[in-house]
Amino acid sequence: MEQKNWMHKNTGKLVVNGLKEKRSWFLVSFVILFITVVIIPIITRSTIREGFIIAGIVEVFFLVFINCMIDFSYLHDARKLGYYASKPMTDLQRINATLVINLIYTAVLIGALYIVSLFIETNIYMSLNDVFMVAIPWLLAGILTAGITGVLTGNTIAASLGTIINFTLPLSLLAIINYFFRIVEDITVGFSSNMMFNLFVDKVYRIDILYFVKYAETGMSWSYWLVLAGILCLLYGLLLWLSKRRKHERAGELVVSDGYKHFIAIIIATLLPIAFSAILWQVGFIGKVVNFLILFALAYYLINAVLEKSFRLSALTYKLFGGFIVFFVLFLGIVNFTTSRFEGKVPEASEISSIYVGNSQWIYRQEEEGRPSESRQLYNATEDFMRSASNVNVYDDPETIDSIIQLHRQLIKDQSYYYGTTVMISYYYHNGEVLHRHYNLTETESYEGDLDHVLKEWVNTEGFKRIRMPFIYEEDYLTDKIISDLRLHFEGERYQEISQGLMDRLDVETLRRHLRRDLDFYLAECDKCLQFAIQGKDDYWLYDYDYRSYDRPATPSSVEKLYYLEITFEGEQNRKNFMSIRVTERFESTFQYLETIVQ
Amino acid sequence: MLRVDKLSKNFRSFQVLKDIHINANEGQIYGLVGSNGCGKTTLLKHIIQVFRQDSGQVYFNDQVVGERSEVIKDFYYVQDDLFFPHGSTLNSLFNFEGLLYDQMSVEKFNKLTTYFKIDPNKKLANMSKGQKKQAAFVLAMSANPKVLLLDEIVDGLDAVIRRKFWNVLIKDVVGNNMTVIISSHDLKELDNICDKVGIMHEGTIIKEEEMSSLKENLKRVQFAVAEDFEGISGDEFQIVKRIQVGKVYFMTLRGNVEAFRKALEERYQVLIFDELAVNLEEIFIAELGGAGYGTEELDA
Repeated sequence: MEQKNWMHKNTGKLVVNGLKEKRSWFLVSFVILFITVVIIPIITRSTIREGFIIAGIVEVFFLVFINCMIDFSYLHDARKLGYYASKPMTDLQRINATLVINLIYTAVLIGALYIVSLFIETNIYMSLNDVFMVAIPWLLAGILTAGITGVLTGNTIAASLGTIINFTLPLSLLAIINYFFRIVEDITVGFSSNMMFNLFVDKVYRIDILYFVKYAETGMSWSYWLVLAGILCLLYGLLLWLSKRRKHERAGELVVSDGYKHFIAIIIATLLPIAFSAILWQVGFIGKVVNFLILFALAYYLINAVLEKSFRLSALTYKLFGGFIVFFVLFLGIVNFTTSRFEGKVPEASEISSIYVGNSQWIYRQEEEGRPSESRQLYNATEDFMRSASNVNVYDDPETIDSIIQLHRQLIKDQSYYYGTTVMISYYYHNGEVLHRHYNLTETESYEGDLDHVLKEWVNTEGFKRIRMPFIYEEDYLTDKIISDLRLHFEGERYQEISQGLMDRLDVETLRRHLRRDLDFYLAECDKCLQFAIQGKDDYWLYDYDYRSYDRPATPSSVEKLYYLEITFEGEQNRKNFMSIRVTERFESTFQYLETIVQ
Repeated sequence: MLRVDKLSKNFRSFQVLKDIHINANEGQIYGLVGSNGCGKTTLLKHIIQVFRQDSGQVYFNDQVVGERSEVIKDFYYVQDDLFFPHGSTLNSLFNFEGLLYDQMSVEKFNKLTTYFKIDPNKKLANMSKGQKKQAAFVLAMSANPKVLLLDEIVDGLDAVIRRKFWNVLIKDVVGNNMTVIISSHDLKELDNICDKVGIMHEGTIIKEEEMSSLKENLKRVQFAVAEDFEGISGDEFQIVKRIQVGKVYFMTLRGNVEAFRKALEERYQVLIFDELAVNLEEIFIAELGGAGYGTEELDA
C-alpha cells in the first residue's frame, strides 16, 4: 500500500518543530530589521522612509536565501541525507515541510516590514504597496527556485549559485534570444534586431509580467493573481517532477542531474561570448560568428570541467557541443534562406498610403485637447499615430513616395555612406499592412556610391520640404501661432547673447525667406545630406560634415562663427513649441540677415 | 520476511550492485559481510530506500518496499557515519523521531538511556564517537522497528558496550520478532550473534546461508604426518585453504572430513589429526578466496 499524501500526517508538528529550530534565526532577523529599518533612521534623524523599507526587503531576500540554502543542504551531504532520507517520510513530504517552514519564516519577516511601512509617509513617486507587490512573488518564486536548485545540485555552494542562475534564467534566455536577433539583423539586410526584440518582448515573451514589474505600474488585478498562481504551480510541478528523479547517491557532486548540468553549461557558455560581443561591435559578421564559436567552445569546456571536476569530459558532453554547433550553423542557414526573399522587398507606390523615413524608433505625440501625450515604439505605432506624432516625418504625396522607394532600392543595393548612420523606413499600406525596414549604413572612406543621387531627388520634392521643414516651407505655418519668445546667441571670438529688442528687429517672414533660400541651395547640392534628411521635424541642426566640401571637424564648435536662433511658438490652448536653428556661415543668406539684425 | 530480489544499481557506468538476492526471516539476525567497497552500505541504503534501485525489488512480508510504501514505516536504519541535527540532544531527537515513527516507546527509551548511562539532555555534538553510537542505537531500539538495518554499529565500541548492544538486540529480536541486518567488518562479533550470513563481493552476494549450515559445510582440520606432505585429493572433499606451521598443517575443507582422514591415512603415516571449530572469519576468507579475493602473493 502506498502513501499518497503530499504532506506527512504530522506535518503541522514537524513544521512547529522546524520553526522552533529557527528560533535563533528569527531573533537575528528581527534584530537586523529593527536596527536597519527603525533604529538607524531614528539615529540619523531621518524619518523612516521608503528607502529603509526597501533595504529591509533586500535583507529579507538575503535572509530567506540563506535559510533556504541551509534547510535544503541535507540534500548535499551524504551523512545528512542518509539520516533524513532513511526516515519514514517521502522526499516530497520532506521538501514540502521545508517549504512551509521557509514560507512562514518569510511571511513573518515581510509581515513585520509591512506593518512598519503602514506608519510611514511615502512620496508620490513610489508606493510601497507596489514594492511589496513585486517583492512577495519574487520571494515565493525564490523559495521554490531554491528548492528546485537544491534538488538538482549536490553541493550547497553550487545550489546557491544555481538558485541565482535559475532565478534569472528568463533574463538570460532573453539575452540569448536578443543575440540571435542581432545575428538575424547581421544576416538580413533591412531587418532590425531592436524592433524584433521589442516586438518579441511586448507580444510574446512578457518578461515584465513574469517578474511582476508590470503590476507595479498597472496595479493589482486578477491577472496578477493568475500569473502568480501559474508561476508557483509551474515551479512546484517542476520541483515535484525533479524530486522524483533525483539520484541521492550523487550527493556531494556539484550538480546531480546530468540534464541540468548540460543545460546550464550551454546557457552560461552562450552568455559569456554574448557579454564579450559588446566589445566586439566593430568586428564584421564572420568575425563575430567565429569569436562566438571560439569563446563558446572555451567556456563550454571550462564550465564542464568545473562541473565534472575533471579535465576529461564525457562523450555526451562532446556530443552536446557538436549538437549545439550544428544547431547554430543550421540557425544561420535557415535564417539566411528564409529571410533572403524579404530583403529585396520594396512595395509599389500605388500600394502605399504613407511612408515614414527617419532614424528614430521612439515616436512621441504631444498632448492635445482631450488626449494626453503618448509615446510608442515604431513597431507599435499605427499610421494615424505616426501622422499625429510630433517628432517624425510621414510623407504621403505620390512624388515623395516615388522618390523614397528609389532611395530604398538604393539602400538595399549598398549600405555604405560617407558616415555611419541608421535609416528607418516604414511603409503604411492602403490595406492597413505595415512594412518596416532598418538599414545600418557603415562609414566608408572615399565613398563613391549613388545614394546622394537618389537622395537629391527626394529632398528636393515639395512633399519632403513641407513635411520635414514646415516652419520654412509651410505657407500657413504661422497663421495659428504667435512667436512668444526669440533668442539669438552668437558664437565667435566670444559668446554673446543678443535678445534685447530682437522681437522688434527680426522679421520672421524675412527670416523664413532667407532660410528657404539657403536650404534650397543646400538641398539642391545635397552633399552628404542623408543625416539632415532623416532628422526630425523642423530640426535644422546641420553639421558641417553634411557638406562634401568640408572636412569632417572634430566638433561643431570648430566653426568660427555661428548664430543660435531659438524661437518659441504659442499655438492653440497656449501650447508651446520650441525650435532652435544653428546658422553657420554656410547659411549665407540667413547669416548675413542676422548680421544686419545684430548691427 | 525481508526479501531483496534481483536488485541492481549502476553509479553512472559502474555497476555497484548486481542481481542482489537476500532472504532474511523474521526474528533473524542477518550478517552482511564482504570485502571493502563491495557495496554493503549501498545495499542497506537501497533497502531503506535512500537510494533508488535501477532494477529489482525489496519486499517485506511480500509487500513491495518503496519510498512511499506503508511498510517502510517499520524500517529503521543506523548509518555508519552518524549524523545528528545541529544542536540536538537525545531527548530532542527522540521527540522529533516520535513524530515519524508510530511505535516510538518512551519507556524503552528511558530504560535504554539508563542501561547505557547516556545523558539524554547532553548535546550529541559533545559526545564521543562511542556515545554517539549508543545514542543512535537507543533511538533505533526505541522506535520498535520490524526491520533494523545496522551499518558497522559496533565499530569503535569497547567490549563491554558491545556485549550490552548484543544483549539488547538479541532480546528484542526474540521478543518482538524483529529482523536485523547488520553489516560489519568485525566477523568475530557477528559469529556469535548472526543466524544467517550473506557474503558480498564486488556488488554481488556470493554466498547466503544459515550460519549453522555454513559451519557444517566448511571444516577445519590440523594434522601432522611422518613423511613430507605432498598433497592429497579425493572425490568427497575439497581443500579450500592450506597453511603449514612447522610439521603441522592446518586445512580448511569443504565436504566429508572422514573421507579426507581416510585418504590421508591411506597415503601417509598420520601422527596427529584433530577437527577444529570453524569461525565466520574462516568462512569469509574461504569464500572470498574462492572468488579470487585476497589470494595474491606478496612476491608474485
